[in-house]
Formats: sequence, C-alpha cells, structure tokens
Amino acid sequence: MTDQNIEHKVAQQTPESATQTRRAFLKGGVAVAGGVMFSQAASAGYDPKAAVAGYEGQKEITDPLARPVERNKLGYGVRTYPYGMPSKYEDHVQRRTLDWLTPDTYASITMSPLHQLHGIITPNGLHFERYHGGMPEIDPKEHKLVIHGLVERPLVFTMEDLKKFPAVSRIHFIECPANGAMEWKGVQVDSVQWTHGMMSCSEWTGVKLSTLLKEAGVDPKASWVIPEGSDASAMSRSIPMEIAMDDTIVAWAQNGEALRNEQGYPIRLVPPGCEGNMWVKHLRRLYVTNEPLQHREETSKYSELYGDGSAVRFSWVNECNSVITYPSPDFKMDGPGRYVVKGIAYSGRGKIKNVDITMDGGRTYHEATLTSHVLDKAWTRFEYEFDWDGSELFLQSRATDETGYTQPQAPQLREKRGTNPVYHRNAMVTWRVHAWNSDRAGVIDNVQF
Amino acid sequence: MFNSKKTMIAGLVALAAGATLTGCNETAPKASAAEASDVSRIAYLDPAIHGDKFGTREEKRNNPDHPYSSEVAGETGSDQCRTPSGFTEVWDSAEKHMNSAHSTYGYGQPISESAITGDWRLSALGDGTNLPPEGVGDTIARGEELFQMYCAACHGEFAEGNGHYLPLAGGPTDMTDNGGPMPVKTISNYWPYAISWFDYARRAMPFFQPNHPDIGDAGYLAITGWVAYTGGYTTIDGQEIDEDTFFDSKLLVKLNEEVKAKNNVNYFCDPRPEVHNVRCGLNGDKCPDAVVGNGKGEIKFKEALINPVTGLPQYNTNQRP
Repeated sequence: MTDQNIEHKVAQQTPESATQTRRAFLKGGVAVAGGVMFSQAASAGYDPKAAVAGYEGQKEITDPLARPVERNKLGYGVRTYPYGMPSKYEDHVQRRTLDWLTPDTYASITMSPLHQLHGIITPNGLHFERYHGGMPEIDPKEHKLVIHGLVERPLVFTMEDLKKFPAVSRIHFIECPANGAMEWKGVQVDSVQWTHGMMSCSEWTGVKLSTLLKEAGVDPKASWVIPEGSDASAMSRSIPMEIAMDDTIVAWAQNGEALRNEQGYPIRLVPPGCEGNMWVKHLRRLYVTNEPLQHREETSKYSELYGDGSAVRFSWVNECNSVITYPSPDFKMDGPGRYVVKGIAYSGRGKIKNVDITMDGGRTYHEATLTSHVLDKAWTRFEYEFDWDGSELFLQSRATDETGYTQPQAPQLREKRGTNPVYHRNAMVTWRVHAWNSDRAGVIDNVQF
Repeated sequence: MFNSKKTMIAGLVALAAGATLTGCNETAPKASAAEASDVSRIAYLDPAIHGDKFGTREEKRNNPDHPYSSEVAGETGSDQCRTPSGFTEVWDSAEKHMNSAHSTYGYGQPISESAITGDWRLSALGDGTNLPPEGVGDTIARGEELFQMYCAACHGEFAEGNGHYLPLAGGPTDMTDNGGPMPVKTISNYWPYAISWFDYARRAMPFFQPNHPDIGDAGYLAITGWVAYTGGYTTIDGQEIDEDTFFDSKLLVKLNEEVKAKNNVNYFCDPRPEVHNVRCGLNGDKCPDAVVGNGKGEIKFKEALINPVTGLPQYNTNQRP
C-alpha cells in the first residue's frame, strides 16, 4: 500500500511540488488529487524509481559514516546476566502510577506503558499491577490450594500436584474494569498509559478449572465458585459456574515462566474476558456454593453506580474496546506526510472482527488492517496508513467483535449510565491532533466528546 | 444445572432466531460445537431479531427469560445473577465440560470439610453461611473501643474518613448523577449487605494485620455493630440499639435484612449489552449525528485546561475518580 500511495502522488506531481520538501511535497500531491485526503491508490505495478520519489529534493548525507563506538571493544560475555534484562537504553519504559489515585502503595495500581509496547504480548516486567493488600512473597513449597463446599471429596493440592495435571496455554488480555475510570467526568489524563494502561495481555499456562472441580466431584447443581487469594486482603469474588466450567484456568505460568509475584505467584485464576478483579491471585481456596459471597469487592466496589442512582453488580465481562496507541498524546506529529495509525483492540466476548478509524470525530471511517494473530479474548493489533495534510484531526478507533457488538461513543455511554459508574468504561477515546499551521502544531491532546 | 438451562436456552435461541433457523425446534442447534457457537453469535448480532437495541435494563430486570438478562428467575432483585442465556457459547462449553467423563487423576489429597476452619473459612456468604455462632459477639461500646484502637487512624474517629481514606458511614442519600463529583459510597447509602461489612473487616482489616487475633470474631462483630450504629442503623428489626446492645451474628443477620431492604433493592444484575454503536461511516457512508462528536453531530468537546504560564495541558489530577 505504501508504494502504491507514493506512485499515486507521483502521478499527480506538479512542477511546483517537485521543488518542495518531501513532506510538503506529499501534501501538495494530495492537494492536487482534488482534496481527497485519505486516497487509496489504484493498483499499479512496482516501479523502483517511483517508489523513492518521495525523497526527491531532500538533503543527501555525503560525509562518510563514522565507525560505531561499540565496534572498538569486545562486548560482554554470556551469563553476565543469568536472567536477562532489557537494554539499558530502554529503562524509560516502565509501568507507572498516578500518586493521587490511591492513598498508599499497598492498595494501589500501576499502568502498562501501552504507547511503548509492541505486538500482543506484554513483557512480564511491564504487566500492570493491582494490589489490594500489598504483594506477598509465597514459598511454593508451602502453598496449598483447597477445593471444598459442594463437592463429593474436598481436596488439597500442592504446587507439585497441580503441575502434573493436563495443562493448556492460552493468550488472553486482563483488564482492570477501572481502566478509563478517571475519564467519566471529562478529560483528566494525557497519556494512553493512564487512559488504558490498567491492562496487559499474556500467554497463561495452567490446568483448566473444570478439570480440578471435577477431580473433586463438583455437584452438577452447584452454581458458584468462590476463589480466595492468600494475600493480606484475602481477595475473593463469586464466579458463576458457567464461567468456571467454560474456559477458566488455574495458571502457574505467564509467557513461558512462572507467574511473577505481581501476577499472583505461585497460582492465579484466569477467567478469560472477565474483569481483572476476578483473576484472583495467590489462589489458595476454591469454595463451591449455591450462594454468591456478596463480597465487598463485588458489591460496594466493582459495581457501577448509574445516573439514576441504581447500581449494577456482577458485571463480569469487559466489553469490546480499542485505543490508538500511535499517534497518541505521548507523541507529536512532525509535519504533514505519511503516518501509520497503530493500536490495540480487544473484547471479553470473543475475537475482534473489525476496527475502524475516524479522523473527523465519527462522521466517516476507514477500516483498519488487523496486523497480529486474532485470538479469542486477546489483544489484537490494528494499523491504518494515511497521509496527513496538516489539518486538525479528531482521531478515534471503533472496534467490533465477533458477536456484532460495536464499541460506543462516549455520549452514548453517558446517556445510559451517567458519569458515576467508575467501572467498565469502553467508550471510544478521542485524540485531537492540532493543525500544523496552529500555534500548537502537531501536538496531540486527549479530548472528550 | 446445565441440562435444564440448556433446554431453556435452546428454546430461547430457536425462538429468537425464528426465521433464520427455519426448521429448528428446541432440540435443534446441535451440530458441531463450532456451528452451535456461530448460531448463538448470529442471534446475538442480528438486528432483525433484536432491532437496534439489546433490550433495556428494566426489560431485562423484569424478565429473566430475556436472552440477554442476567437475572435469575425467582430471584429478581439481584441476589443472584448469571451469564445471560443468550451467551450460548458459554453455556454450551460449560455443559460440555461438566458432562464429559472424568476419571480420577489422584494428585490431590483428601481433606475433611471440618479441617477447613479459621483463616481458611473466612467467607461469610450473603445468606449468613459461615457466620460465627449466635452468642459470639460483644457490646457496641466495646466495638467503638476496638474501632478507635485499630481503625480510626485511617477511617476517622467517627468513621468519617481521613484524607484519601474515604468515609465508611454517612454520605449523601441522593445517589443520582447531578453532574458534580460522584457521591461517596458508604455502608449507609450503598453497601447492599451488612454481612459483607463483617466479612471484609475480618478478612482484610486492620490493613497491616488482617484477621487480627486480638480482635477475634467477637471483636469484629462488635466493631460491625458500632459502625452500623454510627452509620445510622439505630433500629434493627424494630428494636432500638445503643452502646449496651450485644452484637452477635443473630443481630447481624437481622441488620442484613434492614440493609438489603434499603440498599440492595437499588442493585441490578448486569444489563449489558445495553449501549452499543453501529458500524456506520464506511465506503462513502456518513454516520448519523447521534454517534458523531457530541452526539448531536457537532465537534464540541471537553479538554484539559491549558496552563497559561507553561502553555501545557493542565490536567485535573487532584480529583479522585
């Protein structure tokens, strides 16, 4: 597509535009094309000369390239770092928190740097954190998992026991339902790390919960499973049996290695598509019942206060959502020219079907290309190429999942739910790209319709 | 549970799918798992079946038979919720897993239910299961003493909160959205179950040493009683309570009924999907005003204030969500 677009512009080239800089040239080409900003070129064969036409008129480097400094000495040897770490030049890529968001660091959250991540797998060290009572460091030799309640044979498992069971490995996103919570009342944060960073996506390996429940002889008439963690908050939720028996995993590994402490070492619950709070970490107990716990974490918290004063609870699934990670407020446009919009789409109800990009605040859309594996309840990457003519943009992405559900605009959500729900805000976000000829040329702001 | 649900769901899907599933009766969509899943998803998205909406919250609350209602028949009022029957792929998969044969791996070790006690049986369910026996408790006055000793540093002397630690009790009675800050949620105006106050305090408080042995079940019950009393629950089951009242699980269960009648009635099961968009605006099409910009077709938006000195966005970072 890139080459074709350039050819298209070459075909429209005028004598004036040939003398302009590359970016201005591209702009000129588009302008001549009749004001069609996001033109899709007609198919034409590959022509090497046409392919590089955009560089015409740019200053050429003529000084010989210098020898790189690292070539002057021997690098370090193997096993200098028995557990490898990212390059020292990547140390700015970190999970971060907003100090004003929580009263302390023990019941707090950090966000993943979505604008600095690539692909659909979140590196374990950059996975967002959410603690409710500090982070325990559990000795796996001492750890136990108890299954009891409405079962034929209450059982206790060691970590060794669990790992003998048949295992599955699945790639799924986990998202805190408070992702985007700060934005219900209006714009509050200026980075995709803050607006959407309470989520990550990993490959989780473990035994299916249905296998463990049946191993204990679960009563087919039981309706709830209540997982409990071994952290200081003894985190607990009520999971309906249909989700427990569907695709839920008791996982001991993420992305090929043991779970990190922050992700619930040595085992956590993985109910795909469900809100992060249900993915109970440091899992120590599975209590099978016919009554939900009605725990604080599923009544007073993790319930949505709607505009009319009523509340919603047991809102388990994270609905279809997406966000543009580039261009986004952490970046600045560097003049008119070619840009590739990049982002992440996901749905707790299945696979992503389509992602559409609008640049005019929702009047017209362009279908993006899905550029990663498209997996059930997993991050899916999308991209869309366009030529920016320097005008003001209202960039949004709109995802549709395989159930046919399409992500709403913010006014649609507000109309039905008001501005107090806190959780499950899956509205399209809007990045305002300031016009190149304005005093904030190319700056990208988070705004809200 | 899955067999009975399945029959119901099959009926619902057949009913909902109507014309598109010609010839299907209620035992019908039973081809391969993949096909069954497709059938349910087509039913989900087909505007011919559900129009431009998936049903309102009220419709779903009042009609647990609605394919996208999370309410449980006979339980309307949200004590129990479930995955909507319309999500047949979830039910199909769960049913398949439940009904497939399982022979013992034998990797676990049997444990007696009676050995699962103390810190391993913290969960006091909404219906009162696992509460300490009647007679274990203390006076509300003792609850206040313990609260001042273990809780007041964060929660305030009168449970009114302390800075970022929000109030436990009190707060507005009007919980509707007036455009201002979100109403603070407390045991008085929001928490739907009193049993969960006790459950949460015992399992997770005091923050730095939860399930504190010096407080014990009796102490946690007394604290729960005092917080309730402070939060305006001064009459339980027609009886006035005061500092001399002995608060145990018997009183807690009665208080639970009071609180449910006041707050739990405001809860719905998950009504979603109830807000959704349409894939408009592609290939020369233009989206209708309702989904453009501010919902009226205008590009009017809220933005963070610009700092007049630095010229940078001044985000409203001192307001908690």
